[in-house]
Amino acid sequence: MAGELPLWGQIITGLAMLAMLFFWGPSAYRAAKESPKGSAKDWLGLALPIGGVVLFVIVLIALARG
Amino acid sequence: METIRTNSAAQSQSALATNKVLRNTYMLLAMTLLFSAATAGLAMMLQVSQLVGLGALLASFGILMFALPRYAESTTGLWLTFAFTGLMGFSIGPILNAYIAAFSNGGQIVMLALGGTGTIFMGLSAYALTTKKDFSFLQGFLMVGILMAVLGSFAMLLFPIPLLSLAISGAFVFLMSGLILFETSRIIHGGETNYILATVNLFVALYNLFLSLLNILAAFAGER
Repeated sequence: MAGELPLWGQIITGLAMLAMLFFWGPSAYRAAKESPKGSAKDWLGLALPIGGVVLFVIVLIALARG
Repeated sequence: METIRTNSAAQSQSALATNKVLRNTYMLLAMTLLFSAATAGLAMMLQVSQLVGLGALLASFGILMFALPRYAESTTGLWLTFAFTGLMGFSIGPILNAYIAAFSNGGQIVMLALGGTGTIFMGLSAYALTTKKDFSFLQGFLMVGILMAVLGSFAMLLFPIPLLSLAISGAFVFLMSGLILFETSRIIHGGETNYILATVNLFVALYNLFLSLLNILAAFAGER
């Protein structure tokens, strides 16, 4: 799809990006400032499942390559 | 003694409410996934163009940003959820057709991405449900990260760079895994009491996870 968008498609995509930034940007900024900050232990608790996901994706790639 | 009894009753009521939200969320998620699979199949059968798919995606964004937050507490919210997920599914149809046409092992890649998405979702949900860890600290990180990644993926439509596309897919896998943990933990801890919004968030996570896995698998294992 990339690179094949006609001019109007590019304009709509650009407008969608601007709308997203306008409507979503301020709340994302607020959430980043106001949401609770995780401790080192919290982030470590996240590392385990995310590490598992990374390993699983590597296994999937190996499976797909046969 | 009376206080202990009241506290215990309040706790069990809260646990019941949490279980109800969780059950309703998974039930609605299952139904919307089936519905979106049907609309994706329809789009594939009709061989709709990528531009029509993009139009369906933008329409679903409109529902997500403007209509769903307003009607999430009513039955209209349920219909909007099906409209949203149906349009998202429809937008995937032309993408799947493109992968199947572009790669000799396209069908295998699609099935692996589908199975991988389901396995990751079940694994992460089980982790959040069994450990009962609070992932609320991810909120700000996820909101900013997802906004940047979505803007990046839209920018890819305008300025296609294959390596950047792969990096965005990798970022999406991280972010959507985080979103699944965050949303499940929010339901468990009573932070999310609306099953419609919970379903939509989990659906968005699954949708993006699937597309990202598809892109990564095609990049590393696609045979032309």
